[in-house]
Amino acid sequence: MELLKGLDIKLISDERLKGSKYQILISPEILRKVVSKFREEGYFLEDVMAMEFKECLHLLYRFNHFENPGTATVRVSIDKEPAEIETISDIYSGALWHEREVFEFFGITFKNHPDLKPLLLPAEDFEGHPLRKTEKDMKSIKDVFPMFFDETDQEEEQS
Amino acid sequence: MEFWKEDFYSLKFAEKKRDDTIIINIGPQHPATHGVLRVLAELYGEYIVRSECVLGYLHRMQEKMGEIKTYPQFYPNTGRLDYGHALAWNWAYVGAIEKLVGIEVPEKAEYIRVITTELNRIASHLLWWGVYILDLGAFTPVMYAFEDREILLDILQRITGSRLTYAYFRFGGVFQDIDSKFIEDTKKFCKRMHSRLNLYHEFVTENIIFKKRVEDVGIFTKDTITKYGATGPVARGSGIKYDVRKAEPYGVYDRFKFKIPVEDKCDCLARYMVRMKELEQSLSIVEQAIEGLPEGDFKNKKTPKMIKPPAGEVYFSVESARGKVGIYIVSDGGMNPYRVKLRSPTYSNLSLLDEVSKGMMLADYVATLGSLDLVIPEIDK
Repeated sequence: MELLKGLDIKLISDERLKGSKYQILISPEILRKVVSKFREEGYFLEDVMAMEFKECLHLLYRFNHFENPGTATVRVSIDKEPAEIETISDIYSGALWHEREVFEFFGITFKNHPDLKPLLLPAEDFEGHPLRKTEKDMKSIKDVFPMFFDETDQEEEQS
Repeated sequence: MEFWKEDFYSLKFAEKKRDDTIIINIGPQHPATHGVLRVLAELYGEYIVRSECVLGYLHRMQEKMGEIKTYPQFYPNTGRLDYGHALAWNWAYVGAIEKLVGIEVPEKAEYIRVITTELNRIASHLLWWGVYILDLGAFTPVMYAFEDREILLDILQRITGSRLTYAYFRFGGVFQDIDSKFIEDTKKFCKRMHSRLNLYHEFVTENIIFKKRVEDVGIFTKDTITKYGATGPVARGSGIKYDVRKAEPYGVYDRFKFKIPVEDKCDCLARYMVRMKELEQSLSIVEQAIEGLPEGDFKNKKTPKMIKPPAGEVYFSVESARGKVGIYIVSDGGMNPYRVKLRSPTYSNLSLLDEVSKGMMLADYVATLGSLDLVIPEIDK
């Protein structure tokens, strides 16, 4: 992708991932740099979401362009302890609500978010994060998204 | 005298209160919020200093329900997300599953989907039109809008079996075929609606009181739209030509000739005009689709009874009356999805209001809120 030249990203194209024009796997450190590039180019933020796997929490940031349509999905995996990531709400104000939603559903803290409080769930007398999986239902990211890992990585782990 | 109930949000909101202002609650039980939306507003006289939307009064955790039910079991829920334009959500969900599993849809079914979805869009815009003018203080137009909408709901009820919360589409087609009475009624309705639209414009659009209420009120700049990711008529009222039906065509929308109405005044009147022009375009699409309706099956007979997609993900989006509806599904190869994410357009559209409302008059705030065409079940999910 022309826009993100020079940044340490991994473009993934796999037929098992349907519906996005670009699939971009990045590390949490460069998230803000990548998102700023999208903002400069005039992309709009579609949504921010998360899901839980055995090894990590996986966040998705979806962008799209009004004149040059096609979804670009930016994917970040973060540790479960501590579940933290930098906010992008100062770059895209739309993320203010999306990040609050992810915070209450998954317990992910967005650092430097100006007003991180529950959005849809009751603010008082409620504990837990409803979209976190139980031990029984939890899958490994390698089973669901094997295309994120090079074959050499998997071999190393097996040996 | 304090006008707010002391709860978590109002206490937090009051921390930054100035000495010369008062804080009021608009909603959650207020006709202008069209459902159970609550707005905390700090007022200086009649001007809003700061406002904050409080959501969650209608929260049902739809995304969790998607995870714990099988694919077909969750499907009727999609019709309960947006009572105005339920068929768009139906389409987004079945479209996502069809893409994930690889189910083909017969041509006739695609046409039926276009016809019913566009009729539903007209019903949604009529509902909005009526109650928006009601918000602004005129009672009569809602009666005219509901008279026309009633005909439409009757037409759709005969075919789909319900009046608002449809579950008409099926994986690989639709629930039942349309008949000759449906086609006749629809043709009659389209003919009637063209002249009714002229009447609407004469009654309301050219009314001087209406114009004073909406012109230059609630300005959303292009940058605000981009920052918050607003779509649909809200974005098109700010000069952004973006419609999923044209930008990323789905179904058979690429076969019909229609325009995307765009206005660049960025105010409430611009959003009003976009929706009024969209009514005409939708009528035109319905007429074209009925004209070109092919013969054939209304449902793919080879659709598997048990939906069990291979591991992977899919993102599918459609254009509803309110903007871009997106459904994202992750499958781990099991009977139910690993993750379902619903991208609702009004969620993003409403989020920009906290910023825009600064310095606005309270009456203008109500006009702006109405121009967003809110549907709360879709925001609260």
